[in-house]
Amino acid sequence: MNHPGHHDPELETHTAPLPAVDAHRARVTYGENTVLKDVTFSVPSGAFVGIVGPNGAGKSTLLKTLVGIIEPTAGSVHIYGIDPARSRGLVGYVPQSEDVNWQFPVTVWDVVMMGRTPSLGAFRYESTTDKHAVMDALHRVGLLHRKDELVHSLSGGQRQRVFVARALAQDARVLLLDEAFSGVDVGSQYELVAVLRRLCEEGQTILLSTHDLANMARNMDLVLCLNGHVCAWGPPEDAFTPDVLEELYGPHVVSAESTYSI
Amino acid sequence: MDVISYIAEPFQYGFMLRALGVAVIISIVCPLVGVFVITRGYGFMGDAMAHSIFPGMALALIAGLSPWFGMLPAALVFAFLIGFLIRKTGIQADAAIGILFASLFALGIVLISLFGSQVSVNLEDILLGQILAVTEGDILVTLGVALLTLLVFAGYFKELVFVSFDPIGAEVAGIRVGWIDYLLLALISVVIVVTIQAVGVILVLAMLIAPAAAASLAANKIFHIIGFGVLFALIASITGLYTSYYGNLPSGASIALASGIIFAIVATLRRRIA
Repeated sequence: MNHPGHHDPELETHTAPLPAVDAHRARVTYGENTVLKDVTFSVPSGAFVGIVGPNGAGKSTLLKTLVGIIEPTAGSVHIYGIDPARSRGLVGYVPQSEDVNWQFPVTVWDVVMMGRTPSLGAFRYESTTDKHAVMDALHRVGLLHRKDELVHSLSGGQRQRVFVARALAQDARVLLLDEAFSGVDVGSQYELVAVLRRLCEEGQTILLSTHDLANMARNMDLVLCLNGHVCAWGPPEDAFTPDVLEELYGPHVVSAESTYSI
Repeated sequence: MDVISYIAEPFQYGFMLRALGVAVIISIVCPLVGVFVITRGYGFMGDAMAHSIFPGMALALIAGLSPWFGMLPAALVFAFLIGFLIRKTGIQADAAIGILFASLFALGIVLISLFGSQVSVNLEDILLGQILAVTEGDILVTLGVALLTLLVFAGYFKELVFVSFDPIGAEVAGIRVGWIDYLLLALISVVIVVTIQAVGVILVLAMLIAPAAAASLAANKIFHIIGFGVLFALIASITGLYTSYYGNLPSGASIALASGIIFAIVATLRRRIA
């Protein structure tokens, strides 16, 4: 179960000696509450990974641990061999929609420029390099023509792409998206997946959490089934067994399995 | 009387000129923090801060000191306290802040009632503002506080925006979110302190919220909102001063009312256009 990615010859040739993301027996506890235990998995560079699990399964906690704002209580996580707390910049993070204050009057350009914050100089002067990075990132997600609009005025899928652009402007090599498809209608989901898929082909490693099993089964190279611990890890056709689905969502989901025909 | 002398007449008096000076300064800093107050839902908290500053102000006056000595430390202490309550108690912070705010305001009134007559402090001036009574010293303090606020804003503007829009993303980017939040609260509180001179404890929100809220209806981008906010605040405070002068009305209430009317006009126009 722990030999992901071998089905894809593309990945094979790109695989760097160091995995993009590597968790080894990672445990996270809040007080007496163990949210994650014994989480072990390793993501090759350039993979498109879905993280699935019921509410409270620790998906957000895992992503926050990978990005370095939560420290594992035991075990370790590494991004290209580096401790997440020191690899900031390498990892780009797209927050859950509900964690963002959409009322705040910022434009698409402003948000993507936030990705450059750590590299801006005194009084946050924006250099030509910064501006080019922002333009390039917006171009890659197909939103350059909307750079002057308020983020507030965009659709759910476009908002997600703006945040992806922010991660690109930051020169991130690993992208994490928390609840990537919540508030994104079906049509825009397709566009968002296409953008992410293309970025993977360009060498980005992407991990996203979602409830959308069908989308996952169709589009991801690898899936991590999480319920406080790793229930399954591997290509969707191997990971989504009736047993695993029952552990994640209870027996009623298993009967619905045929609806998304893995 | 021709128009020019009608416009110029009030400002041949020193007290009106000093009032104008303070009005212009607060019209610049209020919308600046005001944008953050309205977009982060800090209105109630701003009102609580203004009221909580009151006992500090009362103590300084009773001790025979300039009210600044009580207001500035009180403002910073309560900014910190309120920030702590918000971080620790989340949604229930509302109740905690409400209790704190009412108790401290009551304490201020009790202090003034007990000792106010000995030092001839007028409760109404504190509650409703007395911009016509500001001294040159007050202007200097106001200017100093305002310049400091502008400087901090210029230095940390990007961080303040980032944290206000996307706190988790900001934390990921290595920004110390907690520290920036306290900084914002401290800035709001010192702006409230200088605004109290003009419109008093009770009407602070008229300058803190109304011009920024009207501006957010008139413009989209943050710099434009701040620009329009300053314009609306200037119109409100100057109109208020004239109304107060010619109508022999309380200055704080005149300014606050003008501010509210400007908001109503902008909101109506926007509805017409949209």
